[in-house]
Amino acid sequence: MIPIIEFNHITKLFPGVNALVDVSFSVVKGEIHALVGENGAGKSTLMNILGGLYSQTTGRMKFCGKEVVINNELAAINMGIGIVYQELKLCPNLTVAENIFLGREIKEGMGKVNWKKMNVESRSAMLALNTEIAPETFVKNLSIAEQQIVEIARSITKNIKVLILDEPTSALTLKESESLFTIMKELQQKGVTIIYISHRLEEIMDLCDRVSILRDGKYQGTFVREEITLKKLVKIIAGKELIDVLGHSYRKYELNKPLLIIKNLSSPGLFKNLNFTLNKNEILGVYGVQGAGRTELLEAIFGLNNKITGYMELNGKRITNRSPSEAINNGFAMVPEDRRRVGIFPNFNIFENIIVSIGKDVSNLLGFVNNCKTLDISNKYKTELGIKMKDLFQNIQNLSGGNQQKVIISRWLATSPKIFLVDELTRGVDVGAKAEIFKILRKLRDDGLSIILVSSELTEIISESDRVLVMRNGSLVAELNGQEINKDKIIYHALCG
Amino acid sequence: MVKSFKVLIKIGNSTREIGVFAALVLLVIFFSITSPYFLKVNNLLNIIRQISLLGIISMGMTMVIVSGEIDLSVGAVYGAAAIVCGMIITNGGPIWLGIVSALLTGFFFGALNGVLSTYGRIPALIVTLGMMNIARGSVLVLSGARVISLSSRTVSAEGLDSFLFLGQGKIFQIPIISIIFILTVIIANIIYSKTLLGFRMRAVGGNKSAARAAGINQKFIKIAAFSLTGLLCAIGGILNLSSLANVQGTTGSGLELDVISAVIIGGTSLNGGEGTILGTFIGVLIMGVLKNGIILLGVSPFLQMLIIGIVIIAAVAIDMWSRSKSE
Repeated sequence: MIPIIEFNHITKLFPGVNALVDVSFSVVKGEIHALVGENGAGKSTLMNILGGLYSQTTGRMKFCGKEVVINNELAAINMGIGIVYQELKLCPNLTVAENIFLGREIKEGMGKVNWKKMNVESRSAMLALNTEIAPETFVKNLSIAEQQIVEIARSITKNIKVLILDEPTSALTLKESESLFTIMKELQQKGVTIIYISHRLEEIMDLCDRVSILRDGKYQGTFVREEITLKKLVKIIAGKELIDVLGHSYRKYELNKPLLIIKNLSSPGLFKNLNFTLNKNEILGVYGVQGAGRTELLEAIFGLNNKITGYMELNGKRITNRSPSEAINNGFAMVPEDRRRVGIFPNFNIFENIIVSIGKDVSNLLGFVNNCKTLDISNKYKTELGIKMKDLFQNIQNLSGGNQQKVIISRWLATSPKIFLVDELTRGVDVGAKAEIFKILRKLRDDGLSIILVSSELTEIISESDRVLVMRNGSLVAELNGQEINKDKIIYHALCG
Repeated sequence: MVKSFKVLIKIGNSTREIGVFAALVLLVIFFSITSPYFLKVNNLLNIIRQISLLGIISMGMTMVIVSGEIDLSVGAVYGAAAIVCGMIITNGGPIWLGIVSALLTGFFFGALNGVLSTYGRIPALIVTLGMMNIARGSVLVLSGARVISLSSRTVSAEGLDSFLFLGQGKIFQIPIISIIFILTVIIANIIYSKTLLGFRMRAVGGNKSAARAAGINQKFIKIAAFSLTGLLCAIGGILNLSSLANVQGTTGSGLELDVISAVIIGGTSLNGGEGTILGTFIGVLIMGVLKNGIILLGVSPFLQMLIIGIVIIAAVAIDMWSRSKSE
């Protein structure tokens, strides 16, 4: 039990936020150490301090028994600390090998780069990680999972001692996660210490030797895996029990009032011949592994894909959504999968992010925006959805993922939609906020909204859906009702059927 | 509550301008100390007069840049509009027709820039670079590269004096073109900060994909910004013709760089999404004060270019550094 990293009374203050308060614990050499906590609990902040991106306000760190000050990323790398961030940081226009050696290219004098050697070494690095991604492949042609492996390969420098993985599986399929875990186990056997951040607690219970918990920037304790149950872990993280957090949805409505009928919807290469009905007061879950066409289906419904055939009927009338603005006029709303890229406006404050879609309802003929109205609307949703913020004029980027998502939900509720399309609504959102978000969703359903819920998290699909559609390779392969909505059935249809 | 929110909006939006404004104040103090002529009313009016046309176009440019685009064709469109107006008037056309045709010319080039860079999916940098040459080339062909001058000998239409008064006249000592400039600033500020159009320009410039998914027709917004800029170029061109009483094919060359400089000094981000009309207004003033002050100090005009270059880089650098610190 030799500690490799010791945090001593680490405190980090941001303007208005105490990100970390007096955090002390140690990571043992050669273990897989999980770091868990809700979003905004301070996990990433702590890792960024370790990785040299931030410096702590007060407190000290020891690395390999020696007190250290890590001023920048390069210092961390030189000490043998590698971080794979939640948001992948690869250059899509470069090859795998070029990415792996970015910033530490192998040179052969006169500033010339030795591509051959870099390719050879990349290939062996890939083999060490059990994959055969060709070093000459461009990163943009890789799947997210493959990109993650490249990212890991890049972090594993010759003197790697500690590898930090910040939510590596949030974008991965089950199978891809499995192979990542194998890689982690192998690295552990080679003596690398791994710090693993994840929201997927089941994974942690399978994988990690010890787990440390942060809540609201405060350290809650470290447990050996055998000493703690999943239930207890959730309780410490959220202060709530899992059953409170994600209980079953009610399914109290008769699903016999068709609102939206999709007929023979196809898009070349994405999905084909989709037929289904969405009822009033319904949460319709759509499940499938990555690449099954779930997201593409939502995009097509919302007018983000114009290369489609087939048609839609809303309330018995044929409609076409050729653009999102047409879709909005027809009563559709969509929370997109990629919050950062397609969801938030980084230059806007919370207020502006909420009102950006309502436009015509709050402006007069000349286009003047009525600020009293918009303020009322955003204040209303702030209270109704319980968005945690300093005030409405805070920049949205300073909010946690869950609260950002609530802002985006508010944006769409403000358009008074009839049909709400949500895609990976709780990606990167912690358990507590997840529960709050789904509570909102259920209330919307009870208020008469029809919701299509696309998710790669089975537990969400099972607990929230009134009915489940399963997609595989661009086709609808099953419709599940009532008792049929269970893990085994859904996975069976999603993978083989 | 609501009141305090409004105050916050103001503060939140004006932190950038405070910095730019401080720079302007420092410049004014510096030139007041170093040159006895600087603070004279006549000189200040002269500065205002000199920056008016540049300023009018900068208002449009701010909107284009905030929408995430750029317009290199403003100088050429400005010249083209002036030539069109001048040729119509000198060929016996009525003055109103000259003005309307010039406005249409500006609007046409602006809208074309917008359509090609949105529906045509050609980067605005390329479209407007091309349009700069197209506008410049077509007026050179049209005018045969001659100087078109307005006088009682060349213009038969009535109202030449009132047309010239527009560019040369003063009301209470204040040049009319400057009054038009100030009006443009006010109207632009209303459009930019009070209307949906202005809000959506910032949305589109801040995150194009999110704007599309939020149901905003980003093509329309961008075309509007470009068209407005074209229109403002035409207004500038007409006023230029009126104040000089002549125009030639090369009028306005290089103007685009001054306009973009003023906008950027004013704190507008070239990445789009951030910037204000007030900031640009101050940026325009800084350009005017600098140019004027340097001349008053008797510094060579070559050195003047050098100093303006330094100011542009410094303005952006300070902005970037202060922002990365606050992050």
